Amino acid sequence: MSAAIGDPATDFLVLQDVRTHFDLGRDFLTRQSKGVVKAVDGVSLTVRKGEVLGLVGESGCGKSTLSRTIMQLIRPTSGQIWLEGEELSAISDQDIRETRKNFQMIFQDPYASLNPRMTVMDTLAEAIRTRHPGLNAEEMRGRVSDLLRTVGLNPVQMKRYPHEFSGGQRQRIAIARALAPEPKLIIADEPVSALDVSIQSQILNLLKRLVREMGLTMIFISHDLSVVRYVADRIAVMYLGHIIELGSAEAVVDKPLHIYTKALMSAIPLPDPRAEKARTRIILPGDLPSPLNPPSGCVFWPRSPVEHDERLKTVPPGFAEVYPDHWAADCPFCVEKPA
Amino acid sequence: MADLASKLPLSPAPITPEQLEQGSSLWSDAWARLRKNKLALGSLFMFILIGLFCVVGPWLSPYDSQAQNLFAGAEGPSADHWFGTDTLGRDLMVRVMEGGRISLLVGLVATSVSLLIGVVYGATAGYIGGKVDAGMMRFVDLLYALPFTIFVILLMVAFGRSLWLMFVAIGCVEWLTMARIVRAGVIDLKKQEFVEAAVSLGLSNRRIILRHLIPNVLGPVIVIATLTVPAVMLLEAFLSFLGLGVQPPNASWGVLINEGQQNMEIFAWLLIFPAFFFALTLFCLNFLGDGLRDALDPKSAGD
Amino acid sequence: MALLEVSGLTTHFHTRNGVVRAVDGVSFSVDRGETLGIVGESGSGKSVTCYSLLRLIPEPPGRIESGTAMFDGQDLLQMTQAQLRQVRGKRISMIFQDPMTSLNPYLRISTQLVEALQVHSDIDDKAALAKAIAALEEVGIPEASRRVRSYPHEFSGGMRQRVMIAMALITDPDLLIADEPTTALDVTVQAQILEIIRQRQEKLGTAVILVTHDLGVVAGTCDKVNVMYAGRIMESGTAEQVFYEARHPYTRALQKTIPSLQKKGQKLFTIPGLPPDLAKPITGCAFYPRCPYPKVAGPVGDVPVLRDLGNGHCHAECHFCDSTAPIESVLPEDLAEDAVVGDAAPAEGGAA
Repeated sequence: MSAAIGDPATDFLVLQDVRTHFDLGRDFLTRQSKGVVKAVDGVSLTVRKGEVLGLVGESGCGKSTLSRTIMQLIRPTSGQIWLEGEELSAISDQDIRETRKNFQMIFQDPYASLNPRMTVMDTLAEAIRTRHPGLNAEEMRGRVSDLLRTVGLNPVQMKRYPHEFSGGQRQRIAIARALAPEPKLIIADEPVSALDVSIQSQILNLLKRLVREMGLTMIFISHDLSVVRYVADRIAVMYLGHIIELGSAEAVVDKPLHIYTKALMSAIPLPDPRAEKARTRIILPGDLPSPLNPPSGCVFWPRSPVEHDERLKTVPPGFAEVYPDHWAADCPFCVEKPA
Repeated sequence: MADLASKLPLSPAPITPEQLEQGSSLWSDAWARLRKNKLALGSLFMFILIGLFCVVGPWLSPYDSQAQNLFAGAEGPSADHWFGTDTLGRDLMVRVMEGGRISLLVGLVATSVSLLIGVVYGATAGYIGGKVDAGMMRFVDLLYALPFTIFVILLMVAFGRSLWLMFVAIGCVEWLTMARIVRAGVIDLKKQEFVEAAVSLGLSNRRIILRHLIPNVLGPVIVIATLTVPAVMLLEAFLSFLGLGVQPPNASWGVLINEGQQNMEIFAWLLIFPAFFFALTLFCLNFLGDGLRDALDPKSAGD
Repeated sequence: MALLEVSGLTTHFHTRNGVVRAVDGVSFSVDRGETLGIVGESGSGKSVTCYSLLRLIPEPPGRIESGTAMFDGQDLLQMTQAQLRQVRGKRISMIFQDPMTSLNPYLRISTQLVEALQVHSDIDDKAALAKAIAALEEVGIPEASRRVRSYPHEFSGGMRQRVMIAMALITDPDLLIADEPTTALDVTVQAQILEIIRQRQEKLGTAVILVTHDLGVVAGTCDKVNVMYAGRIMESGTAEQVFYEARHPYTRALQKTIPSLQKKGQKLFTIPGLPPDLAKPITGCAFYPRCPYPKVAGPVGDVPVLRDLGNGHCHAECHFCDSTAPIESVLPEDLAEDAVVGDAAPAEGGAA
């Protein structure tokens, strides 16, 4: 398990056995515990400098909680997080605000992610000021125009309000805001799923270009493997608070190891009628189990088409390097080992 | 990546402020919608006229509102006294103007007080949430449970009667509703991603509340405020009626209406003039409030 | 004769900002047991088309201006409200995008299913309940006889959408209209739901109109496809015709933007610009400003008409561009990428 994570002193971002649980408190009358939601339950991960790590999973798998835990918007229940050798999880709640500008997020819904009462200029200036507090009006205008040009918007529109832009343009503004504080890591949380197909590709191209030209490090969250495959260098597949597969984008998409990854791949509808008719789908039975009461042992056993033995229904499997740099949950029923 | 700025493309030419296209804010859009609403705009205009009449009027009038003239007692409207005189021979028009000053002052000041307390209190409770929110809102519930009249009587007994105390008393009651509305709005907004984006910039709570939350709940708050002004004026009239508010020889519309109704069978004008102005103001504010609601929230308006 | 024959359907919204031509002269037909996919981006008029058929458009501001929709010999657009109620839910059912809001949260699933049945037929409570349980079993809800007593919030999103399907099909309708039924769901759940719709359709012989923005969903489930843009049909035909022999520039461009069809490392093909503002009158081809093909005529002219190629494959015959030129050659590598996006324009026309 420990081999999956890098060296906290030298690697860019390292997570070790991070858990984020939400205690639902006690019932008002009976004083019985309402339970604990184990949204992130033991994630170890390394993000390399300059890479795009795709984080894939269905709703409720804990990918959003994990990203907010990395950003320190939610503090982890246990485990450690290091950014460039500094242990973020050890910083006190009072001082954590200072570190937040190192992480910026691009959100899913461009209609909710911009303050409707602030002009583009005000929104971006507020973000720039967190890094450069002393800029005068002219310098600020210069920086805002540069940012807008970078994301493909016309700087003469900086005095306009969000509602005067289309969804795709708003997402560009949100990307500009994420770039403004010169963050060390950008987390893009489903940045294209709310956009129309023809606009999606514009935004994906923009993100790819920014990554290439600026050397950004990014965690790209999506439920859509085909989109992630296109942007990410490596992909981590998450299920019920655990990472169950991790490897290069090509390896995970073309030679998935875990049966859940295979099911995810086969569920993506292909825009090709003949291929669609020819393929056999792995249709998973049932729904995602509740993170309030996750299965013990291998998290996937209740939905797995392959019957698990009693040991793996109780003892959680580790994480093993099946091929070089291609990791998967060490469960012989979910993952076929190479001969 | 720390020197990300250096990697941005150099601007071909600096943008000058003159080149910038001016956006239209949601406020200016709302104003444009309000301007199309004839009833609301007329009400606003009428309300300003009434205000001017009350504020400027007494300086232009040759009469002193408290100068009694027992020989000219209770005369109907005439060329000298357009609204007539009351039983003590005081010019009713000046008294209506001065009464209006007090009534409008009570309405506006008490509403402003309740606005200020309510917005800050509600936004803080809603934003911080958890136990702080629970505690703060239980306090609001406690004040809600207090019977208003007894509360005012207690205040009067403890501190003696004064106009300022009445502002405090009314403000203390009215801010509760405001706080609840603002809190509910803030709790809705807090889940919006732009607030999360502000948090992830490391902005202070104060800045997030002032820049990102309050401007976005102000729409419904303004509507409630316009509807609170008439409510407060009615409360003042009620308190004055009980003898807890403005006392003679000072006048408010509430006091004048009270005096008028005692004599309405003989000297009807004593009731008609103050009641007319009072009712007109209430109508104006209510129409204005409705118009503002439609203008600020175009989705709710029947288009 | 086709089960549903729509011709010249035109629905406009009369808003403060002008007349939004949400649907502008749409014609198509659906046969019994057939699945028709309507694809398009937001604002293309695909949903408004379906809502118009059942006259679920808010009026005002919406108004069905013209057209006919012959359903089994009767014109849906001319029916009285009483006649419509006989059709809605009984012969034509609808599934909506959001399974969270389309069930009444205060009523048990059993109540809602039984109500759907009893509105349209004389059936006693006991028989209706038995039928409701059977309907839930058919859409794959485990322990249906126990869970029929649950409230909607006790189900997950996927389960709720199954309940919606059960409710829509319980009256054995001739036509099911599904408006983005899987958009709010995860991909694995989407696969389950599409499979259930397919199975039920096979068994009951129901015709289905599937409205979606996802070309992949269409490819796997639909017999026929209409591609809509700016309130008009740009291309229609069998799924194979539309996917393999696409004629219209928009259909071709749309297919090329899908990431899963692109090689990794290659720049994604992009349609530049934004969909048109439907509150402004469109002359000529609505796609003209974004069309990647070489232009051979100016932007004004007659609206291209749908031309049938003889085998049911229709496309808006465009005389503005040379669509025989290969698409790659006309789109410079970075045309879309660094282009400063045009004027700020609200994307929505104000229509629902």
